[in-house]
Amino acid sequence: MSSAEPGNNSEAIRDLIAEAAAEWYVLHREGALSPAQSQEFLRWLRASPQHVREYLAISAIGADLGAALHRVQTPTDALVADALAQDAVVTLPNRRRDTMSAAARRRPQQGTLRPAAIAAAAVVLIGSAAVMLWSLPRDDSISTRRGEQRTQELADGTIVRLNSDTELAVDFGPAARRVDVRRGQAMFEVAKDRARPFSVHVGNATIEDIGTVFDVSTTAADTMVTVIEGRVAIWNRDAREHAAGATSAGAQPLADLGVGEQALIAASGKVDRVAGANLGKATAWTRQEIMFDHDSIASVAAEFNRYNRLQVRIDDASIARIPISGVLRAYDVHAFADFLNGLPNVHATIDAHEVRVQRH
Amino acid sequence: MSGGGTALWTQLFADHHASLSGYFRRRIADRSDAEDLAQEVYLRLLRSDAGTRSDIRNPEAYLYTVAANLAREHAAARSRSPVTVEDIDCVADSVADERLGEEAIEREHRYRLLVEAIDRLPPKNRAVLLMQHRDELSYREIAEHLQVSTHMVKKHVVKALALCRRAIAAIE
Repeated sequence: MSSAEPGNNSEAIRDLIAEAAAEWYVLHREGALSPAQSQEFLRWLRASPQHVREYLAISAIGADLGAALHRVQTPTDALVADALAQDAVVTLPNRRRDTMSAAARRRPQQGTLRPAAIAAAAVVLIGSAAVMLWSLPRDDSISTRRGEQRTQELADGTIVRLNSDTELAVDFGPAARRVDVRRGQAMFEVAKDRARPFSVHVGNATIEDIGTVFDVSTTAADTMVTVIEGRVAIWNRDAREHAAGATSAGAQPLADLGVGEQALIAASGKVDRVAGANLGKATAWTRQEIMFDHDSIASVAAEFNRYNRLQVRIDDASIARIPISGVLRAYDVHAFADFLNGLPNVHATIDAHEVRVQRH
Repeated sequence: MSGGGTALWTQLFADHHASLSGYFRRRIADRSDAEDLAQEVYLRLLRSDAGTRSDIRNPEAYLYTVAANLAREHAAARSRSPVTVEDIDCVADSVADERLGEEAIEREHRYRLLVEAIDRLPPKNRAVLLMQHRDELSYREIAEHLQVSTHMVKKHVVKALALCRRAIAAIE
């Protein structure tokens, strides 16, 4: 699956974000926000680092406006006359916008997110580690049902957030902390403890870190690791265990990821590294949102199916591949069906059991 | 929160503005700094989710405070590393002078970029911005001048700010 092409679309998205930031900024200058508006604003800021960046930049411009504008000598009458004349010259603002876009186009584009591949077959991945003697006597697995999310603090202070339909096995000993992701998606905010390294095992990969925040999302086909804070190293499980046993300096991790980086680990063990990941998108699930940016209809449908009993079924392979962009509430399958019905040649019908997507 | 509260927060941002604008200046020289700042502020906002959502009653003030504190931390870390202990006493005064000069130059540069961006705005957006921030007219007064609704005036202001931001981002 190829990553989205940077181009006019990403520029249009930047324009939209700048406008949203300006709208929030103007709203704040008008007076008090209601508590609901304040929370909505916070939600918007939390959606993406890009939102934070634009809001700070617009605020800085706003703070300079008064002083800068006093240098513009044009009298108010002339400004008004120009503005009223604008109605007659429809092409002017458009042309101006194009000039600005061309200037922006010269800038290097930010990295884009590689959509997760779709699960092709159900394969159960079970870690091969033996049950350790000092395991806690109680059941050490944590799981969520479909449609359920949960945040839990582990014995060491690590906070783990489980997405819908997820199962983890926790195994903390005196010398190491280990979590196996059996299925689903989880975000880890790891408590520092140098004496007991923290590792996450998924499929044939081992993810190691030293006090950081990262997200692991696994399907039968592959695993996506996103680093939100700090650094992690991804190892082939066998190579790591071998390296730990002997003093082999030659062993290398498959990938070493920093903030904002992502790795897609295929079942084959091949690792694709992505810089400049969209963290707002990677963490959308924590806000019960599904964010898609040039992702295939099939991969977005798989996301909805992770949350809802009402499953989306796509009958036409050519429709499954169509790239779409947007943000929807994760539990609102009907909104997704409406979205699909808005696309040309796509027809989605809903009954008691499923959403069927066909060619019109 | 009252309207007076908003004025207070505006003042708060004005107070933070010097340390924040340092970032927007350095952005020209070192892009990664401004990227780091936004990223770190973002992470703190995410982390604040660990408590209840209502613990941030004024998210904008919180945002400015976090950003300004981080900007100061970075600036402190920056100035610490290259300067030795012996240097500090003898150059402290000249550094302070230089900083002031540097700040004035940087401010001048920002104003010039902004004025250029405003000059290129579509006439309506330009008129609305100037009438609001230079002539200090209310939305209603501007609306009367331009024979549009106050709602439309607000839309023009939003668009003007966004276009300025994009124009300046394109230059930097």
